[in-house]
Amino acid sequence: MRAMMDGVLNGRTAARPLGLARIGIALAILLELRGSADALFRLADPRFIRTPYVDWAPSVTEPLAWVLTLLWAVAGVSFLVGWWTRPAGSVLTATLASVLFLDQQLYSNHLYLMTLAAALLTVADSGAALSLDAMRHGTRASVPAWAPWLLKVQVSIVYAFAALSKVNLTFLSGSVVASYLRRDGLLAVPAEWRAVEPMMVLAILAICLEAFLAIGLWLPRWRPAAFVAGLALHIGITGWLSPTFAIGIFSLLMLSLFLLFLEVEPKRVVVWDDSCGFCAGWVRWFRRLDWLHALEFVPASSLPRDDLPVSADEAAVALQLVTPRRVRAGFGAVTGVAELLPVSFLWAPLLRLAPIRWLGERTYARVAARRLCALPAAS
Amino acid sequence: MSEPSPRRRLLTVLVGAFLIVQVGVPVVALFGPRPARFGWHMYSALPPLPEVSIVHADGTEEPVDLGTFFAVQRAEIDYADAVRRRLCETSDATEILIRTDTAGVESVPCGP
Repeated sequence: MRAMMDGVLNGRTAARPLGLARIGIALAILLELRGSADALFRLADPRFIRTPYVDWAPSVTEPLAWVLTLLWAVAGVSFLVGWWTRPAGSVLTATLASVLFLDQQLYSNHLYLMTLAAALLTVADSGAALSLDAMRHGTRASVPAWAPWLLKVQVSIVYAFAALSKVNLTFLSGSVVASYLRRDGLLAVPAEWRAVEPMMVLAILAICLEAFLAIGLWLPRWRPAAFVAGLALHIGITGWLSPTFAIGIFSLLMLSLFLLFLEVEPKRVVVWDDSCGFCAGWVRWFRRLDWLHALEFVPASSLPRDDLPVSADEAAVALQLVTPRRVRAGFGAVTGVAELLPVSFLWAPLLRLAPIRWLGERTYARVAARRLCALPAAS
Repeated sequence: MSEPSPRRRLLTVLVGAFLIVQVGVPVVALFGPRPARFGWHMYSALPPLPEVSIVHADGTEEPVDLGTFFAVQRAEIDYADAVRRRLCETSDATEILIRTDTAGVESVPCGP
């Protein structure tokens, strides 16, 4: 425990996942603006009752609503692109906190989470990479580990207490799930499906999923399953519960924070057959999508290398992925690469499942045998 | 073993304080009504939105549509306090009745 806390307080962590998480969270914050601005301007209307937390809280007036809305928009965009990231993050955090605490009617769980995330991303130096600041002053590969660690802890706190708060008779009866299920649109759940038994199963499943996410994201063995479970949970609640837009924003917020759980160091090595144009095409796409710089690409023509347990012959047969624990080849290597790309890390663990893996391996072998290696490799 | 630097001490305090607040507040909220603010009680219960009515001086009761008085309706809001302030001031009500499934009928008398 002491060693872990030493690592958290003194250690450093990769900057790029944090930068990408900042972009996702800033996007969620900007998407939330319309709903919160609408509530702010309604509250500025004297026809509506104000419900401040304390009597001395300032009244929500139209000029104040405009100021907060503009600050939210400007600081949000600046934070998104990483231009003056820390000042923008500070203004954004202060604005979100002001909106959150001005009136009880402005509270929402995702606004609260946004405020915490913006604050932690600001102190975490999330503009160190993938930002205009990084383009102007140079990218830093790492940042202090403590604030990203707190963001990860916050993710677990949200899921853990969401699960614990659902352990009550009302929720377990399935009535809460049934009442929030979509009633119209393409994904509407027919009334006859809202019977007690299926709703109880859904309720228990929701609690189990949230409890699993609170713990599983921290365990390397279970993390891939947690990514898939998290994606399934958020697609499920966004698709089938209402209000869709607000839940979609919450999902974007949470899934952006999942990036912080990805282990991108040490870099995994992709060994590929550079005599083959087909392989080069795939590697070119992997490079483009490797936004976290988690991969190092080594052409087979540069082998043998003392630090790589892969021969040129092996690389000529199939793509090789060298990780600290093992070497994966062929479809397994493609799966391993996909598990490190931000566009696919949430669903790529599904490629490990037996039926998909068998199909993938057969397809990979067939394609590898028929690939057009006569084509010149792209540099 | 060397003494930790003042910066490290400050960081330890900050991280510790964050964890205590972020864990402590939801723990306390677990023992209160659901949903509670800052407790991460998303979709954990059916929000008991109240039905409010005004009792006029002549004893007649008039239901109030909360949607016309509140910008946003949330289960965590202290409606009794809010409607007491507003409805007593802006109507000839002698009493406000707030009905919820959980707490029954709450009577809020108007006047000094």
